[in-house]
Amino acid sequence: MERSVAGKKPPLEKISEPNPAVPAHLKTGQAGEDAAADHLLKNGYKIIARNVRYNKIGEIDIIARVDDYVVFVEVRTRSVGKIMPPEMSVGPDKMKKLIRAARIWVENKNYGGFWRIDLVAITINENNSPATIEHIKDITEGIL
Amino acid sequence: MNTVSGITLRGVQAVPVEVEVETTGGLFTISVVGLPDTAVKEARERVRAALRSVGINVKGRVAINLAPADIPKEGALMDLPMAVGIACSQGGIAVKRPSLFLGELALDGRLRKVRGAVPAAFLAKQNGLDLYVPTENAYEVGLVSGVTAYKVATLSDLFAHLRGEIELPIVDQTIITDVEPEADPDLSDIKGQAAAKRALEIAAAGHHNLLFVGSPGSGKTMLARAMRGILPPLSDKELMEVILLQSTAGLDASILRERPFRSVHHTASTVALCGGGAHLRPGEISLASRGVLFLDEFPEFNRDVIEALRQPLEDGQITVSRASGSVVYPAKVLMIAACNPCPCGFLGDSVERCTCSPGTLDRYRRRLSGPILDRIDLHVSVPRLMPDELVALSGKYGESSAVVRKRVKEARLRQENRWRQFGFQSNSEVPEKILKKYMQVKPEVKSFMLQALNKVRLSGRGLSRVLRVARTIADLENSEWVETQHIAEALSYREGEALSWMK
Repeated sequence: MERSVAGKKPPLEKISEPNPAVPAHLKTGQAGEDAAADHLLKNGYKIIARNVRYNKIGEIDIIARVDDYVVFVEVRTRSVGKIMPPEMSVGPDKMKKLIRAARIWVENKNYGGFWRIDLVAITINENNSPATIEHIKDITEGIL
Repeated sequence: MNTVSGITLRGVQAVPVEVEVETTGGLFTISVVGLPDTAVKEARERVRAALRSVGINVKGRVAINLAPADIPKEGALMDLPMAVGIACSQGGIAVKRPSLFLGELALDGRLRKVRGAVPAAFLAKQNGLDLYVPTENAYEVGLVSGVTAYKVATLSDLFAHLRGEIELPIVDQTIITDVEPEADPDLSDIKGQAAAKRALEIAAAGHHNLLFVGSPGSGKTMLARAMRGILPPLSDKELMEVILLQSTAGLDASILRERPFRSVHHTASTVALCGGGAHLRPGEISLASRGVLFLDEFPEFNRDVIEALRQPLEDGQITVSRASGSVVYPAKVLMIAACNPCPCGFLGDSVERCTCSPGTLDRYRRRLSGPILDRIDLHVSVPRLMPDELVALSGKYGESSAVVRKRVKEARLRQENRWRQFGFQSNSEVPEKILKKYMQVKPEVKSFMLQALNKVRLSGRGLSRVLRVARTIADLENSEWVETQHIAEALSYREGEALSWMK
């Protein structure tokens, strides 16, 4: 009660602006997300939003629509030569965050249809051009 | 009524389980309600993979309700109805006629064998439902006539059938082979032991329980195994009962008319013998129903295991009650027990000397309680064979099993005709009241009985058991009257001769 009067409530949803002075690892990520979006578009996905951020819960990289699904896409980008493949870097904690973020989006938009969470795993060359793109559908399957 | 149903087993009865599926939007989950056990809960993984193999991607929040909600559902046989239910809700499949589905799914959509196909077939027959069973279960279902049953090899075949693209093969009637079972070992293979063979014949004819006492190597086990060869084949009604039990327990149903023979090791638990467990399965005594239950090394069994046999041996059925419910399994067994006279095995032997101390003997004897021995009609001593009997290598010894079986069959027929009006089959089942009323005994036989009773101490049940055995002996000889010699022979099988060491 006290908090809602005194403190200002942070905006629930905020689309982040691309920052001109970004460090190298963020550039890699940015390039990966762009490549993922291209890949999705090519495969008939309609992109609804990108980089939807919820404080403390995290960010949804891409929200897209295909068939009767809304798809929340997590993009993972790695440079060539890294030991761990990109898809291994999504652990149970990240999964929980993704589901929470997606659920908030669904509730805010009052969306009642089917939705799922996909992973696009990208490895990237030195010159920021994608080497491999892998699209793993419905990564929460099996977690009941 | 919903057209998609599965079954769950309650004893040897199949209970229909309606499968209702509701899909709503959201992240993919499957929840199963209606008291599913672990195998049913895990079905969702198999169901999803199997459905994907036929091109149906399950999506959204899927709620599966198994009705009626208050009966626990068990076993993997619910896989198929759940898959069909989901396919009806999401995959554009329609089941037009009310149908029963059963089968366990492989991840690639093949169907695996399940237990309980025969009870399901009876249910389908009763309610006029179509039945879909895995190919491997087809021959069991074929034993039940008058059911519309389809053999399903894979999920994709089934869906093609339901869409009307192909026609699944109908289960053929399984033909029950009527050949006389071969006796192994044959009675004529067993050397000597004429008295024990005679006791086997009486036990087979009247369905009496039997106890063999003898030193090691005297042929107790072989004699017990020979029992199978002299029992007449199962009748149609009995065969159905046996198949129903075998299917419930997940055994391969026999398509022979041979009577079951269950040999139980003495490490068996009460639940293994009498039935029960978390999912209420029939025990060995029920699986041996209409046949032989052989308990070798009888005193080595746990005492409470043996005592648990008392009630089913008397009633011919066993009521298993657990928290999950109570069911009645048939237990019309012919029990053959075998034991040594003492721990070292040579008490009363003609050659070897017994090395047991009196204390050990006492302990050994106490393992067999009076009540259980009282329920065994025939006590037979199986003595060691003499060297000249053993050496006789060639030829056959006495009558063959086929000859004895013929006599047993006739004696059983006589009993059936006599007791049919009361609803009994054999002398051993008939209650004392009816038995006494219908025993034709001449006055001199009565006086002989009185005389004998003064010498042999018998309980009330003991006397009526003697009378039953005497009746069977008379039946074997096709004698309408029970004569003195019948009573005398029956008395000799009481705890006299064979168990003299007990006293």
